[in-house]
Amino acid sequence: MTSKVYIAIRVPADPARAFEAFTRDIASWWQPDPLFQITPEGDGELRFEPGPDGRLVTRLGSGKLFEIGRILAWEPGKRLVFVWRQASFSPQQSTEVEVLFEPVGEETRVSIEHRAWDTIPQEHAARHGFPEHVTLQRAADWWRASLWTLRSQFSG
Amino acid sequence: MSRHLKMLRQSGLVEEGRDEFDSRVRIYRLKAEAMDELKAWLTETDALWARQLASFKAHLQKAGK
Repeated sequence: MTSKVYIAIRVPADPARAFEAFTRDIASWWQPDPLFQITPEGDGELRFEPGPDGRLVTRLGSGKLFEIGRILAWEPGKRLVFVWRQASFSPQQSTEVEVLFEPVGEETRVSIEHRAWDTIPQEHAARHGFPEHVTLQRAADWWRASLWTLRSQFSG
Repeated sequence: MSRHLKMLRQSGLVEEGRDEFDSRVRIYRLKAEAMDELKAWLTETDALWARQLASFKAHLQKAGK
């Protein structure tokens, strides 16, 4: 079974520049959060390493390098696909993120599809050390706040 | 495929919705209690990328055209 999350946003840059900023500057725009940590040590400093054996990694505060996942497609200005595995995932669990960059006039529509198979993290909420309803409440608060931000940006 | 989804809908296992940004996309949300964990993952992942994309956009706005 496949489950997926889909979200899109319009950004003020052409696809080539949006792709470049998305990949090259990820350490600058990535927002770490204590609730959705990539590793127990936090999110660290993310970096895309392009190339045939390309991967997305993060440098943790301890200096350790954590591999989030292999890059499966690297098409500058168009498309980016990579594996997404948080430290808490079991070896069988894996998810995949596809980012599309589509021109809309002089701007770019950036969409993200995050796919998971039968691999939903076990006791995902409990792992954060919060009762599930608290986690969901927090997530819902965020979602509302994020939508509010998006809406104000679109109407501006 | 759509027949299967219809069955799931009728059985109350999923509910149908439209994607906020792309009307071509239909989103099926699981309703079964057994799927709480999946729902938690979907909610968290949704929130994660909403936040990251908003931040990415702000980054580009700051950088200017």
